[in-house]
Order: sequence, then structure tokens, then C-alpha cells
Amino acid sequence: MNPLDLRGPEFLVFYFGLGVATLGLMWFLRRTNESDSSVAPLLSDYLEIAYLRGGANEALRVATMNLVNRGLVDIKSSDRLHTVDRHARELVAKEAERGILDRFTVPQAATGIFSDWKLRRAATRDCRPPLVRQGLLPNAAQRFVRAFLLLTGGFMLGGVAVVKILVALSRGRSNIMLLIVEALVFGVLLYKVTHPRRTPAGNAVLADLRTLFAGLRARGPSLALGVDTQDFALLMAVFGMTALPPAFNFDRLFPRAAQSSGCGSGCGSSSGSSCGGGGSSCGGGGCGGGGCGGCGS
Amino acid sequence: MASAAAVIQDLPEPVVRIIDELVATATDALGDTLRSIVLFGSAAENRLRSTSDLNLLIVLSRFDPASVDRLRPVLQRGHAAVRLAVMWLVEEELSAAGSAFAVKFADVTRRHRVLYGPDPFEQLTIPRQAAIVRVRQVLLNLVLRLRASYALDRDREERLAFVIADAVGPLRASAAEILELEGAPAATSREALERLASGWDAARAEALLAAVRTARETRRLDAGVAATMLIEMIELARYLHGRSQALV
Repeated sequence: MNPLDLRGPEFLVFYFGLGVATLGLMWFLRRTNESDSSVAPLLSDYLEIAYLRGGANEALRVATMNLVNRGLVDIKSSDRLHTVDRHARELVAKEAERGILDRFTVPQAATGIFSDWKLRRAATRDCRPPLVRQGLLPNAAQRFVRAFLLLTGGFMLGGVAVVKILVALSRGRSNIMLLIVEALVFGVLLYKVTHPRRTPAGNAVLADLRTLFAGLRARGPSLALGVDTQDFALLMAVFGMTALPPAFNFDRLFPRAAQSSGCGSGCGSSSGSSCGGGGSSCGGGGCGGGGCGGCGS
Repeated sequence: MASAAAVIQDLPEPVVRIIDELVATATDALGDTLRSIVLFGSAAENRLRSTSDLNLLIVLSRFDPASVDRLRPVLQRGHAAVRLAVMWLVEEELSAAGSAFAVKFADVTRRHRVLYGPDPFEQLTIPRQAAIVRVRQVLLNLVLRLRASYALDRDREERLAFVIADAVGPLRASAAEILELEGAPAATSREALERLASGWDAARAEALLAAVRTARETRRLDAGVAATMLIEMIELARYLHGRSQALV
């Protein structure tokens, strides 16, 4: 029986099954391509951990709070930051940290770091290459396969939807909206399945770090402001702002991130993009568009 | 010599991982300057609490800053994950350190596990006189320190719970050393303190040691308890100091 001859509701059910099967297949193929039997080493660098967890915005946020905690950046009033001493940049190792210190030589709002493309680029340069080298973020070959899977799945799902719409229109039917919506939803899901920010190894390392530092999270409230700076940096990097001891009172700097729980990819970002951290091949703002483009619309 | 992994298998998983990584990195980074790595303190007895430090001693032939720099990422991760605290000692300092910090090193000698290299405490003898002087000094210092904490933080009881939890280490080590010097050693430093405390005042000792356990486990004590227990701890430390005065 030709599925294109199915009536509207039956075809929607068929298309749903096709969509789920396509998503499952693409997920399996991507996982297989990115599986790596070698054991990734534990990360030590707080900025790389923050980048792995949440991308460039998260790395910048954690770096900023770390610099405040180290006393190199001062909270002037409400959410405005000010670099204490121009020479402070000699005390930091990362390009992103130096960039943050340079930015706040003129007092301004903390959240401005998210719209500073130079800072985002610096954070990406600091963190992305070592994470890719260790297989925690996708490399060029893996990004190519991801794009190929996205296009293949997109052509499959989009092609079937377009043909069915044409058949329906040729038979004088116009109730095609539900199919268009279903195709768009599967397009977005297909993008998410083929383009997660991290590789499976990256997810495993992050989960591993959360287990290893569970004790640190538990003793977070006893960390002293300006004293336990290394522990603080790792706590922020692994768990995000939700693990922040209340005494630190940094919520006012990044109120959106402080409100969100779990703080995954790009949470609380002022730029509004959740995939623009350089962690995916699509770059900023490409999440929905890539998926929809693959549907053949 | 057993491998580090075999020696620490009974410890919690994060601790095992950090120690394994440290031993491997130290062996590589420190090269032939590395003599021994020793686990000591509560971890050596597998009595780690969430608030305990993980104490390691690294014995070197010489302290080479460039080599030690290579260990920093592991040390920082270890400190964050399991409160790793490393004591760095050059081998020729071992004897002098044993005399200067007799209570501490007697405690290390009693409870330690060798993770790498020969046991540096096999040949270490702590002169009796040095041990007596040092145990008196440690206890008197503890009394003075606890009084200062009481005077400063009496109205911040959450701080006092930390003070009590942190003071029990030297108190136990001193108790174990006193019993050792008296010729009636206890199996563990904890047992030593319990034995001596019961000789001080059994009822008060029971209340104090229960509060100490709570403070060590939770870093909290009920309102009104911490200040009273701190005063009791000072009295117990004074009792132990008095007992050490009788040593010859």
C-alpha cells in the first residue's frame, strides 16, 4: 500500500512513526561515529570545564565571577564591575580573563560580556581547541558527519512531507497545516539529535566531574569569599551559579543565570542564543534554521 | 612494595581516583627526586568524613619547583574534590621534623599507608624528651587558641562548631602520644582520647565527645551547645596538659 494514499489522520500517524525512526537512526549513527573507547582525562582548567558545560557565555560568566572573587575586579554598584588595577592582567593566564579585565577598566554592567564578540572569541580560542583535541567537543570530521546526517534526515522527512502536500493539493485538499507543523517539529528535533554541543565523551567527562566534585558542592557554603579561590572557580565551572554560596551575593551580577536551575548550555545568556558558544558547527542562531532548511521547505 | 591502587582500595572512590592520579603524576613529574608518598591521618584508618582533609606526605631528595609545578593541576583538583593537603618534606629534614613536630609525626608513624617507595617512618625515632616537650607545647597552644576563639566568636556559634571540629585532631594525637609515653598505648588516637577523657570526668567527657562527633560530621551544633562544649574542650585540653606535665 502506498502511504501517500493514506488519509490525513492516518498519514500523520505514519509520518510520526517515520519521524521517530529517522531520529533514532540519526541518533544511532551520530553516536556510533563519535564513540571513542579511549578514556578522556579529567579536566583541571576551570575555564575549559565551564566552556564544556555551557559554551562561551558560561565560560565568560564563570571567569568574571572568578576574577571578582580573586579581588581583581570590584563590584562598584548593583551590577557594575570595575577592574581594580590595570596591572591585574599580568596576574591571569587566559586571553578571556585578560579581555574581561580590559573591558571593565571602565565600570559597566557585568552582562555586557555576552554581547562582546571579542570576548566570546577569546573564550573560544582559550577553551575549544583543547576540548576538541580530547574528543569532548566535535572535531571537523565529526561536524561534517553531523551536517551530513542532518541533511540526509532532513531530505527524508522533508521530502516525504512535500510530496504528500503536493499529492493532497492535487486532490483538492487544503488541510495540510498539521503536517507542516509536524514536519517543522521533527526538523527542530532532528537538529537537536544530530547537533548536541558535546560528544558522548564530553557528556561522560562532565558527569564524571559532577560526581568527583559532589563533596565540593556540599561544602560550598563553607567556602570563604576571596580565600578559597581555586575551589570556588571549580565549583562554578562544574555546577554553575546555582551552586553559588548565598554569602557570595553574586546573583545581582547575572540575575537570569542565578534564577535558572541546572544551568546547562547557554543558560541566562544575554545574547539569547543557546548554541552560539562555538560548540556546534552551526554557529550562533542557527539551531532552528538548520533544521527547517533540511525539511525541504 | 604493593601498588598504590592495592593499598587504598577500601577508600571512597573519589579519594582513590585522586590518589591514583597524584601518585602517577608525581612519579612521572618528580622523577628520581621522589622518595616516598605516604597517606596519613584519618584516611589511613579509612575514617574519612566529608569534612576531613586527605593528608599526604611526599618525601623528596630535593624540592625542585619546576617539577612540582607539573603537579599543580592535580593538587588543585584534589584539594577541591577531596580536600587534598600535601606536606612536602626533603628526606634529610625527616629526623628534624620528627623532633620538632613530635606529636604530629608520632601520629603519622602510628597511622599511615605507604603509597610509593620505602616507608620513611621505618627508621624514624622520635626522642622521648622531644616528644614530651612537644606534647606539652601542643596542648598549651591548643588551650590558648581555643580561649582566643571563645573570646572572639562566642556570639557566632556556627564558627565555634568549626573550631571544635578542627581542634579534635591535635587533641587526639596528643592523647595518643601521652598514652604511648606512659607505656600504655591505645589502638587508635580516637580510643586514646576516649580513655583519657573518661579519666577526666566520664559524664562530661561523654557529652563533649558526642558534640565533637556531631561537629565533625555536620560542622553544626545546636544553639547554645557550641560555646559550652568549647569551654569543656578547653578544660579537657588543660587536663591532658596537666597529665603531660607528669611525664618524665
